[in-house]
Amino acid sequence: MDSITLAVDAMGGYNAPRDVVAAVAAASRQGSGDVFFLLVGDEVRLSDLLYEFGHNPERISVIHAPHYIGLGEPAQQALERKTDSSLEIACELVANGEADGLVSAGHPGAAILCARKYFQPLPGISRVALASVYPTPRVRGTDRLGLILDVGATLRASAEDLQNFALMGSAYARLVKGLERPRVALLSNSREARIGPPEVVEAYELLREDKRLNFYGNIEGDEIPRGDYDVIVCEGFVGDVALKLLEGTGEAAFELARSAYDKHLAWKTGLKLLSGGLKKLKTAIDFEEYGGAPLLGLDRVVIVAHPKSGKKAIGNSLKLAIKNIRARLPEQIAQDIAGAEIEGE
Amino acid sequence: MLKLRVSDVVSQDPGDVPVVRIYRWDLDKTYLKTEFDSIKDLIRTALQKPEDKINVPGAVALLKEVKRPRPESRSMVTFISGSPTQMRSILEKKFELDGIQPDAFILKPTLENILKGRLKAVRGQVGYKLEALLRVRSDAALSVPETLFGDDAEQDAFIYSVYADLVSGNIGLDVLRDVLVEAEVYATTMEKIMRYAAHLQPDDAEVDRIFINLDRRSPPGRFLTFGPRIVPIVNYFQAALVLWADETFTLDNLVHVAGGMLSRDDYGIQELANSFQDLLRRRVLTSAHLDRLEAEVEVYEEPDIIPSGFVKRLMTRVRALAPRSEIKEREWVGPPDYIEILRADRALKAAVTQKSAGLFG
Repeated sequence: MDSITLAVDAMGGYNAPRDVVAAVAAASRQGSGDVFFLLVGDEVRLSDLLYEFGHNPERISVIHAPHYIGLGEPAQQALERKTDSSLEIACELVANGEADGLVSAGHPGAAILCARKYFQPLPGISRVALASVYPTPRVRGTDRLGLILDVGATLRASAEDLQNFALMGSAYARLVKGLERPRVALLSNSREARIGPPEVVEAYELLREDKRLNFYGNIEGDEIPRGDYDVIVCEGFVGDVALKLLEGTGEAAFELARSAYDKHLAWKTGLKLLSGGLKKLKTAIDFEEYGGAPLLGLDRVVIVAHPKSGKKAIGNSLKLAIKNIRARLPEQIAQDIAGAEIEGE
Repeated sequence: MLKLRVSDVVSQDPGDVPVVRIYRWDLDKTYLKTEFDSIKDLIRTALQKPEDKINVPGAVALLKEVKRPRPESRSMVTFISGSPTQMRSILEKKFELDGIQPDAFILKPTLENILKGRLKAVRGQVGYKLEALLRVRSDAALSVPETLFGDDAEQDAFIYSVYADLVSGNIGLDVLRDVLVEAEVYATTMEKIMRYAAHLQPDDAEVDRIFINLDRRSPPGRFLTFGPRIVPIVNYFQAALVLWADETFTLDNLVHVAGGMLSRDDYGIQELANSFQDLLRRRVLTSAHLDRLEAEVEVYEEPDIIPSGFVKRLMTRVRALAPRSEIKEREWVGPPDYIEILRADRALKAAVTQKSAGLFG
């Protein structure tokens, strides 16, 4: 691949367009110089913002989009009404080959619908999945991150959908974590295979029999953060709740520490002494460090960033998109799904 | 006949061809990609051979167009650099390798400043560059427009802007004295600067463009206060575009600069078109300029230094990226408050050195 071009929905997210422009400006100054950015949004606002941030204009094109989809709008209706939104134009740029991938921190539902409208599903994939990483205490492969999917691309999933999620997640973990045989687990309310919703019980059997997977069985919610498994499979509704619980727990712990800091001198002293380590811990559990979630199952690279993403999270989403494009993620997943069985442990 | 100090002169074109414009260049980070942020960088730069020195993309191509021989007129190129005088032979060799012949080349007497204990003058640029600019202008005794090239690493935008406003009479000697005092320029240098400035004639030709190479990728908005005369750039295709818009360059000059960047600096349509869009976004170029360029390209015969059809392909991309709304030039009320700029600059440097707060408290 000679160069990479990323289409970025500049108007998406609570902090858009300022933080998106800031992140793209910073990214344009870094790297080997073979990455270009198409910043899609209101050209006047984006041009004014670019004055404020040091950037390399050789690597940035501003593409005008007169509208954008607000976070509070119903996704389907908004897409039908605003066919020239920043999200839609960014998707068009990817679909017609002007860009190699898309990053959006805007309305996640709209981003998923729009991506499904413009990009083709991979062979054998009926449903896309959002895959998110989360921090764990164990190093597996190249990092301490676990992968959970789906975290919100669809609400419900059939047993076959869950099997597809497992295959896509496994392929993704192989690629980004450098693991030959990622450990896959199915999220349920019991480790017992026969307990749980019918689709989960059925999915257990499908995963167990699928020789392309290194399947470990069912796990319960408390096992998610332990890091014993590389890929945790669940339906979108459950995954979304689980992921936000993980994020919220970390934030709540630091809020508690802050309130303790103000209350007692001894706690204040203790926390001061610990502040170096706590800073590292905060960095480790801060979702801004991990960027967005790749939307798996389509023939193009799509990164859906959290709408509350700031400059750092968007910057990391850009890096993730570039990494996935360089790795030819969609082709790799398609190959893995169609590929040979893997040997068990 | 030009009257330049012999020690500064590299070459002078003989003959009676009139000089119509003077281009004044900084050297490091403007003409050469130089790193001097650390002692290690400084040593490496000092020991670098001429052939190892790297040019800023498009600098050589632009200078060649500036100096392209014409029967009826010529331009002068002077370099005023903060590099020490001991670098002269290496840098002259570099010019020779690049095929550039400056009309004057001034270097900073750093060793002399150290030996005399003038340590502020070793780091400071305001006194040194203003004195050099005014002296060279006074020595040349030419009333022709000037174009200045600097970078964002030091205070080029500030110094060039003060110089341009002095030449045009926008600021007087009283403001100049206040600026020099605020910049802590040594009394002897200040005296020379004031003497040269006093000899400026009110009907002198002005400095009509100042280009600042954004080597450090400074936010372009930082230079808005200096007005539209200053154009921050990231490559010399952008400078060539502005010179074309000012009718200082022809389309052929512009295409040759682009051609030089294609062949020497590995540029392509995407980088050049984005550079063009950047100038439109910043309203340095306007919709009228874009229309005029398209009209000129229609009847232009492309030289063989570029791939066939390159200019038309570039124009197609530029048109596709052109902002939808009408672009007009920015309005500006100048000159800026130079004393305030110096103080704000100092306050910013102090703020940057402050430590950030920890996680708790």
